[in-house]
Amino acid sequence: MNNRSIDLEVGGSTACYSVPVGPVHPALKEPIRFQFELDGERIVGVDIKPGFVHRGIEYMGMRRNLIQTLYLAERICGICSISHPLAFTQAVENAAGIEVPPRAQYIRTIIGELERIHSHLLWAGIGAHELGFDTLLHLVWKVREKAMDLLEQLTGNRVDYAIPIFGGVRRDIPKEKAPLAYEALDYYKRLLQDLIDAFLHDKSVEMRTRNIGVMTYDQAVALCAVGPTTRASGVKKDVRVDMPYLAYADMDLHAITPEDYGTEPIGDVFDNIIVRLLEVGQAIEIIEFCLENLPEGELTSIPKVPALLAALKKASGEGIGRHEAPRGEVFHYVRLEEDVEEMAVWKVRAPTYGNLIGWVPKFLGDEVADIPIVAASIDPCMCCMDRVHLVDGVGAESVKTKTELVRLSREKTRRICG
Amino acid sequence: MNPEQILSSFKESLGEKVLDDRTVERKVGTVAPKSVYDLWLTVDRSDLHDAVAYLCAEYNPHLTVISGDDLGDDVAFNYHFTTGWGERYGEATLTIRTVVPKNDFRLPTICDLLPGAQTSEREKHEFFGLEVEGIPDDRNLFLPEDMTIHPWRKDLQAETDKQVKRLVKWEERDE
Amino acid sequence: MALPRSFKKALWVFHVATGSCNGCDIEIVAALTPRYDTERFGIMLTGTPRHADVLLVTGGVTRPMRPRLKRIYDQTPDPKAVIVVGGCGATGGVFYESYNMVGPVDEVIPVDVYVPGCPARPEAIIDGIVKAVAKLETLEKTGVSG
Repeated sequence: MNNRSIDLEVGGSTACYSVPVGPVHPALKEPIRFQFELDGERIVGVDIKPGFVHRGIEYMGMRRNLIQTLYLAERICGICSISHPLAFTQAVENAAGIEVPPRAQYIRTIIGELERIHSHLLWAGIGAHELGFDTLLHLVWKVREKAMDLLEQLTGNRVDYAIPIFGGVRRDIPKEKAPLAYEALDYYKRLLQDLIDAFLHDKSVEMRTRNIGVMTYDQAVALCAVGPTTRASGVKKDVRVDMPYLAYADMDLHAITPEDYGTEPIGDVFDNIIVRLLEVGQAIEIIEFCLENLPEGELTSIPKVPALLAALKKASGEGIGRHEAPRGEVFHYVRLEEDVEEMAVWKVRAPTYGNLIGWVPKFLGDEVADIPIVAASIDPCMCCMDRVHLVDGVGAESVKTKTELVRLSREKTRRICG
Repeated sequence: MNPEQILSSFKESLGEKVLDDRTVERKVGTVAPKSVYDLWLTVDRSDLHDAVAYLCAEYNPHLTVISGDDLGDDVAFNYHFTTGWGERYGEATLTIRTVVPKNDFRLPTICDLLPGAQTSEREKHEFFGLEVEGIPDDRNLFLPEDMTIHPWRKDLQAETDKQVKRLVKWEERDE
Repeated sequence: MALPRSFKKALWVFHVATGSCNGCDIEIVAALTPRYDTERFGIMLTGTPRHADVLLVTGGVTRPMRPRLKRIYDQTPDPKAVIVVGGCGATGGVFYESYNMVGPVDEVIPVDVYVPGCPARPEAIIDGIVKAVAKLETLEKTGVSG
C-alpha cells in the first residue's frame, strides 16, 4: 500500500522514431508540445512541455486590487469561466471573514452547474470530432446552444458572466425567468437518453475508445489526478461531496463513476465518456433542486463597492477556496495583509495542472492514430490544428498535416469496424 | 473523521518536530449547517520529509499544490494536502508549512512518496529558484527554456520588471 | 493580383491560438456549428495554413508563440487577410503588464480586421470575415497588392 513509485520511464532501446507534436496541433486548442518516442506504431515514451500560453496571471494579480483581479481570474479559462471566480471568492471570503447570504449561494450553484452542462457537451462534441464522427460534433453542439441561450438570458453573456463578487452575486434570478430555465431543463431531460445512446451504444465509438488511454486506480491516486479523469478510474473524489460548499451542502450527492452505468471502471476513454454524460444528468437534477428551493433574501452582504474594498483592505489572514469545475478541482490560496490593497500571495491551481502528469501513463502502449483522442480525453480544453513532423531513421523528413492525422484516425475506425 | 484526531496524532508521532498547529472551523449549508475544517501545521525544513512520510503512511493524502510566500530573508512553502476524500463531509485540507532561508535555498523532494508532486516542485524551481534535491526532472516547465528570471521573488523584482512589457499607460503608475 | 471568384464562394480559414483564454476559440468553433452555420456560405476550417485564405488569430502573443506566428503568416499564400478576434489580440486586453507577453498581434504580423469583444460573439466573428473579404476586394480594385 505504501509503495507509491510509479514507473513513468519506459526503456527506449527499441524506439527509432521521435515525433514532436505541437505547439499548434490537431488534438487541442491550447498550444502544448509533446515529444513522442515510437516503436513502429506504438508509443513507448512521451515528454510534455506546456507553457506556451503562460501569461503570468498570478504575477499580474498580485499587483492589482482585488476586484480587478476578480475579472482577471475570470479570464484564466474561457470554458470554465465561473469556476475560477467561485474558488477565488471563497478563498478571499474565508481569509477576510465575509459571509455570503443563502440566496447568493444558490444562484452561484445554478450558474456553476449550467456551465458544467455546456462544458461536458463541448467535450463530447470535440471527442467525436477526433474520432472522425463529425455528425455527432454538429448534433451535440447544436444541443449545447440551449444551455448557452439560458446562460445569456440569466446573466447577460454567453461566456464570462461576471456573476460572483466578494460577499455575494451581482445579478438576481427573478421569478419571471424561472419558466425559461425549466423549459431548457426539460429539453435536456428529453435528449439525454438520446445522447447516451448515440455515444455509448454505438459500436464504432466503443471499438475506438475501449481499452485506449488507460489509467488504473493506483496510478490515479498516486499521480493525484482530479475530476472526471480520476472518477473514470473508479476513484470517488469530488469536492462537492467530500467537503461541501454553497448549495451542495444541502443536497445529498454522490461522486459519479462508471459503476453508476453498470460497468467496472477501467479508466479508459470510454469510461471518461460515461462519467461526463452521466454528470450532465446530475447537473440537471441539481439545478432543479436549487430553483425549487431558492431562498429569499439579499444578494450580497456588502453592496457598495467602495465599502467592500475598504473592508478587504483592513482584512488579514489566509484562505483556501476549492470548487469542482467541469474538469476537476480548482484550488485558490490567498493571503491578505492588513492595510495593503493587493494580495500578498495568490496561488492558482487549475485542474489540468493536476492531470498533466497523468497524461504519461495514458499514452504509453497506444498507437499514433490514438494520439488525438487520448490527448483530448482528460479534457484539457479544445481543438487546434497543426502538422506533425516525422523524421525516420535515415533522416528523411515528411510533414503530415492535420487532415492526414485525422485520415489516419478515421482509417483506423474503418479498419477495426471492418 | 475527526480533525482534532489528525493533528493530535501528528503531534504524538512527530513530537517536538511540530512547531505550530492551528484548526480553522467553518460552517457550510443554509438549511442545517455543518462544519468543515482547514488544518495548518508548521515543521522545520529538515523534518518535512518525515512529516509527509507519516501523512502518506496513515492518511492516504492528495497533494493539491505547493505555494510559496516570499517573506524577505526566507521563503515559506505551504504544501497543500487534502485527506479523507471518498465520504461525504469526510475531507479536510491539511497544509504543512516550512520556512527555507534564502542563503541555503534547498528542500528535499517528496516525489518518492507521491509521484504527482513533480509538476509542483518543478514550478517552484523555476519561479523561485529553489533547488529541490532528488527531483527526477528539473527543466523549466511553464517558462520558456532560456528564461532565467524568478518572477515570484520579491528581491529579484528589478530583473523581472525588465521583462515586463506595459501595453497601457496610466498616469499615476507611469510617472 | 486578381481575387479568384472562389473567394466569394468558398473561403478557407485557419485558426491560430497564441496565448488566449479559449473563450474566443470556442466562439469561433460555435460559428461553424448548426446554430450559426458558416459552412453554408462555404467558409470552412482547414488543417494547414498553406491552403488558407484567411488567418483567424486569437489572444495576445506570448514569447514562445511569436516565432511560430510569424512562420504561419509566411506560410499562408497571397492573397490573404488576417483577422484578430477578441480584445487581448487587439490591445492586450486584461493581460496588459506581463513578463511573458510580447504584445498585441499587430506587433508581429500586419492585421486587416479587428473583432472586439471579450469574448467576441459568433455573429461578430462572421461579420469580421465578411468585412475581410470586402476589404480584399477593395484593395484589388484600387490596385494595391495584398
